[in-house]
Amino acid sequence: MANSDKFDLKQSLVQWKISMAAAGNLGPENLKELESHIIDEIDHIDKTDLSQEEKFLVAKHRIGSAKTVGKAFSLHKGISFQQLSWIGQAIAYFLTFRILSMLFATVGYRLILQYIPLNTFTFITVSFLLHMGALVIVFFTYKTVNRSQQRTQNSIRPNIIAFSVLLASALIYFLYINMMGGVQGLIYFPLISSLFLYLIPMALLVVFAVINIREWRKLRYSNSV
Amino acid sequence: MKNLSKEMMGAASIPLILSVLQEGESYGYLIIQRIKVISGNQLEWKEGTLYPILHKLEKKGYITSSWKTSESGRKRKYYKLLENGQSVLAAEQQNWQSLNQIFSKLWLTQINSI
Repeated sequence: MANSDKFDLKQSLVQWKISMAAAGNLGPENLKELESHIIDEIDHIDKTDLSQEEKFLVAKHRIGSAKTVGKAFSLHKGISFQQLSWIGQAIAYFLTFRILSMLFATVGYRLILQYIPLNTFTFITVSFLLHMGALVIVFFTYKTVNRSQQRTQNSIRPNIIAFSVLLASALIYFLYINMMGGVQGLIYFPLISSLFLYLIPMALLVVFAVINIREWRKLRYSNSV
Repeated sequence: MKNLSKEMMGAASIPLILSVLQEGESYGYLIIQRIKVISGNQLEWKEGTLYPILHKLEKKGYITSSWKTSESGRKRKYYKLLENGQSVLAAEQQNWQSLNQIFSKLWLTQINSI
């Protein structure tokens, strides 16, 4: 039996709100609304033999743990990759691809062309393969984002993965450029290379993005019903 | 009814809430009580999880909310069905009724064939 003499409802509500707030995803208005709910619950518990503290514990249990409530709020809040419009996702694809391909190209040319003589064929082949590598990484990164989001129903972890990949690539790229003193003189054959380095990868990028976005739309639909 | 899956509860929650609000404006605690009573205490969910759904419906423009002071002097957030919500509810009603008819026919055929 709980000790009703020492129980202070007001203080207990403050403590409870602090624990709910610690779970994240709950703003002041959410907490105010939940507090109003718990008081309603206490007022309506018809077992008169229960002390106020016991009624408070029952009401608290019915609302759910901070983890459960916080998780429920997180499902409908915040910007996740899946909540971006298709334009937003397309931009995310493009940016990740551009940064990764620039990084691969800059590092790759310097490493590979040390051992292979530079001519039109090697330049385009190497560039094309490096761009394809970037494309495959972009495709699987966002596929993983979609799948893990579906599995965990949590928008935070997959976003961290996606943005970490993007950020790390950008950081490494800019550090590398600064160390090596720029990328001048890398593009020798603008007309031929633009076909292989941009048009084909871009066309494939669009195809891959469409595949992933279709998966995302199916998932969004199943979440919305 | 006790073993209602999470997915099924998720699918039913929006039409349930909209249907309760069609009866008149209400607040979180009362919405849950109404559903509990109408289902004969069979339908229950963790009460804290109702609010994110209400907020989602508000964001979509199906319902609206406002803080009001009750007779006891306490403030409560009341939710009210909007025109958009009415149309969504009408569509949901049609879908659920169609499903109900399909299941009824299927199960009636199965019972008759036994």
